[in-house]
Amino acid sequence: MKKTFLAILSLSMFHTWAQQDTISHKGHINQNKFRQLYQEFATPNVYRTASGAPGHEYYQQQADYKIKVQLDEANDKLTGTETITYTNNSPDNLEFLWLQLDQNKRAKDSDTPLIEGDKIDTYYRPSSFVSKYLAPKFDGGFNITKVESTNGNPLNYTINKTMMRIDLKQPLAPNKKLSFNIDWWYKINEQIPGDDRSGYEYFKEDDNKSYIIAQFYPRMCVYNDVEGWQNTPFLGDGEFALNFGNYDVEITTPKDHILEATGKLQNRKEVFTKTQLERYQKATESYTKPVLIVTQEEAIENEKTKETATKTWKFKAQNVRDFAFATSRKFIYDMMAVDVQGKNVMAVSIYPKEGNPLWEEYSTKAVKQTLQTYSDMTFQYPYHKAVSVHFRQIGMEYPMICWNFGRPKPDGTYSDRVRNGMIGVIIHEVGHNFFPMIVNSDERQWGWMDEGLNSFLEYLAEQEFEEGFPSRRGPVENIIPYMSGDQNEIVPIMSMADNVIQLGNNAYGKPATALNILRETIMGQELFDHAFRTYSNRWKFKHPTPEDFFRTMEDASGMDLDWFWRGWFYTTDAVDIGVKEVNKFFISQKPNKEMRAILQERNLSEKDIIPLVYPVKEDSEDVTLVDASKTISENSTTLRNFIFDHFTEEERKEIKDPKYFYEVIFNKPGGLVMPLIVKFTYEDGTSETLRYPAQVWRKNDQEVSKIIPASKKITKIEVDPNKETADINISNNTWPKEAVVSKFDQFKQQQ
Amino acid sequence: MNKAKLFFILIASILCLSNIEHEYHASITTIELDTEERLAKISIQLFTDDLYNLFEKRFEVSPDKLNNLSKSENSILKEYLNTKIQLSINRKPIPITYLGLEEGKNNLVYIYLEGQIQRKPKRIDLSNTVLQDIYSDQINTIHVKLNNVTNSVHLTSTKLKGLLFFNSEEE
Repeated sequence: MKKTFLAILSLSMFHTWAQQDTISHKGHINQNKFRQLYQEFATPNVYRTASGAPGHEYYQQQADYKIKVQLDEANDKLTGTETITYTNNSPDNLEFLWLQLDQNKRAKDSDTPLIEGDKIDTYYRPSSFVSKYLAPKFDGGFNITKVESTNGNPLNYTINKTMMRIDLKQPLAPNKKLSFNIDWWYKINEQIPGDDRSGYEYFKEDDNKSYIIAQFYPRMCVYNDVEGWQNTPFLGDGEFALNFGNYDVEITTPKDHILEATGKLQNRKEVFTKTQLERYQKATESYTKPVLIVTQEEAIENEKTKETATKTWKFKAQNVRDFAFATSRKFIYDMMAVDVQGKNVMAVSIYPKEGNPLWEEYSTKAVKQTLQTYSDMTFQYPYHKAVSVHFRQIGMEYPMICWNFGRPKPDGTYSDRVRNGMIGVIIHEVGHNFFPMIVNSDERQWGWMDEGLNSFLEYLAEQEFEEGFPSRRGPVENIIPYMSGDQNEIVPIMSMADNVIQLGNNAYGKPATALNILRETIMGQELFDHAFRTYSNRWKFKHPTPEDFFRTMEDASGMDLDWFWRGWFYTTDAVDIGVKEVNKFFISQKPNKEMRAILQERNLSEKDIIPLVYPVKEDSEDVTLVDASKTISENSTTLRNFIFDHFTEEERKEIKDPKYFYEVIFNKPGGLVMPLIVKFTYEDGTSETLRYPAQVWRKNDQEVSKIIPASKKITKIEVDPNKETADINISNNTWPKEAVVSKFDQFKQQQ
Repeated sequence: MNKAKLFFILIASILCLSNIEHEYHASITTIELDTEERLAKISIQLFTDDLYNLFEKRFEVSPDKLNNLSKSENSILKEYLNTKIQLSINRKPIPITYLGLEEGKNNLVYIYLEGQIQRKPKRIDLSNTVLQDIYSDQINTIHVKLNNVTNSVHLTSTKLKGLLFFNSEEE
């Protein structure tokens, strides 16, 4: 072993030593950062075109549901029966169908707890400790009691954790539909804060519950041209891939419950009181402020009733990808009308008294802002309402309805942070209606397509809601800690499917910031907004993939953005651009040192060559050849003569006559390619900012030099003066190197 | 799909539940070793949300405004930082004094601390485990500057200590 070790050691030393002065014939592949993404992108086909639009044979499946469920409040049980009608619009024969049984995440034999790594924490909250290690496991999985075809014949099915496969006697042919019935029930879980997307919260004080019900029915998986059956099991955290379809849902609850759900309420007169109906009418015409359908006093009274008699709510929803509802006798209920590009959309909020005074003040207004900003950027919100439901420690989205956190202290006071957090989450969750509820990307595969795009729009909506709103994701400065972080811990945005738990997974701030930079700095708002709208409209009510987005943005703007997508989405490179060197030149009539050397070498004198124009460097000996106070035409009679001989008096007025020629060498220690934005400040205090397109780096990724003629001395050159590019190191951004007063010194001076 | 890939996809789908939790957790600490003033000037940039979470999750208090902490909240923070940040210069641990904090815009907050430098720094041992108790994926990036040289290190839950050298010949 020792011999081998020594042999290897000496070999490697020899190898290293031998490497130093030898030519390598080792070839390389094209690494240019501007190369097109041909190899990364899927080949365009009849389903998805090269321009990023749905192809002429694009298809998507449809899944319609007719559901009846009953909430048993005493036992926290939900019982349901449904008819699923599945339409196979693909050109393929389907031998079996896959369904998702998401409540099985909470089944006794669920994989979810099994795949979690365990470690001993420093400390535990008593509630988490008990639920994690001591309490008996809650069995919240689906109990499927019937799977039958519509003529009553049982169907063969197999359940594997959260997946169910129905084997068909005859394959489902292209363009054919199949209907079948399923009956089920399950125990509703008490929602574990931060853990569950659905469940109930128990309020000890008034002995009541608030329910958020979602993923409550067996539903179809997605079958498409990109993945075939999309059937990655639901473990509780990766989100969903779902089909569009029409829903017809009946929900039976205690008679005194207030409920909101996806879809249009069909029997309002049966479930609203006369007073509620009147107030509702008023609300549909109230564009300036919300109208209370159920007030806080009424809700508090209602908390005492504990009705056991029931009522049934009937909803219909067209072209939605899911259905969810929230119900409780504790709810306060308000709504207002919003003008969304000429269409009346209702903005709705439901919340128990624990959400006040915060919710009454802000929730519906935040919903309104979201509908308007997002519609401006994409398309007119196509549904008739958007609902914000108050629940503790959650943020989760469904078509037309979402759950949001934001609870004041028991005494009713709340900090700025609680207020801003609540407004932010409402905007974010309502925003999800657009991405992925309507522009329906596969969340499990490409989480950033809905999260990143949504976070970007959230930032815009927050700034429109309130100037200076403290947005965490979106501002360029905020992404710097992430992008300058440990390279071992971050992964490219586009590597989702292959990575393990790492920082990169959660950094939806990066795609959001990338889009912000694309809009403000690379494309400009007009080009970006038009392209973004084109993408949204092309894929509205369809299923796009990342390529469809990348391609459409280029297609609609006429810009080649492959370098941008590559850098920001396919690598973990960061931006670091600086000023390496600045040389000041004058123009001389007499030959400079280099030229004199050439003349001498060839045994020539000045008379032997044609008159030329000679740059001389400020700090060289040649500077004595020029008069630094004169312009270049004053210093160089050659130049002066040429100008007079070749331009008319009129034309000469347009000819510039600077004094100095600056050679500015910029370098790029960071990997990312970005436009070179430079602010030049002159001795008289004036300044100008030049924006060189990112293509300046196309031939040399490390360095580029620019010649700046100037009539006034340049006193300062600053790269990225407005901090637009997420430059992680600004110590090299200024010439001359500035002694910047650090934040520390500033702070200390103030003390 | 082979088991390994399935495993990775399973793990990959363990994103945080609430969409709001899709945050990355990172901080940037700058330590300027000012040999003239004989001070180690420390500034830590954090996200405001994360600092609030620290107060709420670990200490079960909800400050109204970070800029205006109550006396007890202030001493909680002081003590916390004291245990979470260690700095040794030339193998001698130096006491760190908490100076204060400042809220910036867009959800950023800056914490300032300082320590005394006795001699010319050559070897820096440091640890910064701030927020690692709240977020297992917290990465604390530290930039240590001495004259014109900056040396940096990333500290995480698996790399708790940093060691940096400043070669005096390089100055």
